[in-house]
Amino acid sequence: MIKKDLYIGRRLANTMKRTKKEFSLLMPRRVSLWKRILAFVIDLMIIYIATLPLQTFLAKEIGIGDKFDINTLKELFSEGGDKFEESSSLIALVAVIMSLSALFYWSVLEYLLRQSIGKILMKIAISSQTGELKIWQVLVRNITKATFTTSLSILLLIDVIYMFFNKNNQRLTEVLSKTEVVEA
Amino acid sequence: MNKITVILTALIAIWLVSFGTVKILEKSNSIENKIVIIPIKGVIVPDETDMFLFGEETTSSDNLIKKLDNAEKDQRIKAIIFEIDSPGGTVVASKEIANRVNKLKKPSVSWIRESGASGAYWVASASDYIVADELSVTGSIGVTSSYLEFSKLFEKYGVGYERLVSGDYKDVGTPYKKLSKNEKELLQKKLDLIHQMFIEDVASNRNITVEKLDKFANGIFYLGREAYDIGLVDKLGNKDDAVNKAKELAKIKEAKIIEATEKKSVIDILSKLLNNAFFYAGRGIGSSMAYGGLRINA
Repeated sequence: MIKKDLYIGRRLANTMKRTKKEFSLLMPRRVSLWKRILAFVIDLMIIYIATLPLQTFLAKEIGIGDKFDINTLKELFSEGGDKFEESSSLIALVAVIMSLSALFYWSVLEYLLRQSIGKILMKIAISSQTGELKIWQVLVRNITKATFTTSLSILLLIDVIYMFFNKNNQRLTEVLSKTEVVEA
Repeated sequence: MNKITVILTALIAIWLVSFGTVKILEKSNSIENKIVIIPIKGVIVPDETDMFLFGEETTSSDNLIKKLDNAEKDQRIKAIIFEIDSPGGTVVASKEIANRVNKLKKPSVSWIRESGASGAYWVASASDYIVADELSVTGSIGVTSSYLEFSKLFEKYGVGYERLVSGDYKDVGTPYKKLSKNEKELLQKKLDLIHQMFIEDVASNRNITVEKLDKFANGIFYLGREAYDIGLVDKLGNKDDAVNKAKELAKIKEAKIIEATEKKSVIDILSKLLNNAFFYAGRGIGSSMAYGGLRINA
């Protein structure tokens, strides 16, 4: 009797295991957080490099040297630090161009390829929960990322924090745009 | 389009926008001459961590030298004006700034507005030209190291100072005991030496003899008008006079006047206040006073 019970129990466990495996194959695999962060950092670096002429010009313009390094960036975009007063409009212009460049980069690549360079390297991609990916969806999901060089970057922080409270680990803009990040 | 084509096209488009913007900006800005006004306000200190408690206005020599380096690098800045409203500061910080001003390759004008005394005058003397308001306070070429001594107060409350030193002069300047005659002489000698260096430096900057300057360098302050009469300043005037002189020295007719302001974020201010609070709490008010005792100011 006990032997029979054990046998049934083992079969049941195996069936459950198999079902779970099959079910997980059908469901999009949830992407780990570190992969997403790393992809974001890689993309940021690429955007910085692509906008290098603008940053070098600004560094010279506000007199903080002509080298491109992390300190230059820190001084360019921090509220503090010494700046000649008249440069503030220039700094604002550069921040806006960098924001638009970032929005363009993520939106175009994600719309056409479902992946940015960072996501390609991390083997992740975006997916639309409504079927076909629309241009408004990529614009909405990337709008807060484009604020990273401006004082509105608090929106990106809120967007990311939301991810920790969402059961599918989606950012707020991902929920709004009905998109998610999945394993490629 | 394949993956690589899309990526390359996007990146080239961003780079072109960035490069194109730079070219447009360079074209629109390249013909403009600039004169930068750099403020020297409050007590002159070596660095920001030396900021006085409760955020009294200070000018740090580190920051100011950085601003001068930046102004020197910027090709479109043709002259520098120092807007001075300072009672002086520490000897080292004042001298550091004066030395840097001396080495400037661009014309510099000091505009003494409210006060440009002691260490601040030392800095002004290093510039090419000094404009001062006739009612401003200037001069005060002297050195002080006075401090509070509270040994009697401690006695009153039964607090004693246990002197443990190896080297007779190791605790010279501590506020917990009276200075001995020898100690006083020693400190006075040091102050006289610094005073002499101060006079020699200002005399050399102003192109006057040490003997001539010595007569006016007894620590007394002068109103702008008096300072002009004895040759400590070059012109009585205001900002416009300083700007006109800067243009003349730079040999330019038109220039945009810009100000090198220091913008501080709320986080900067809060972190500075916290740093100071922890610093003073950790070091102890008593020892902070002791350290303060031997500060030499010009």
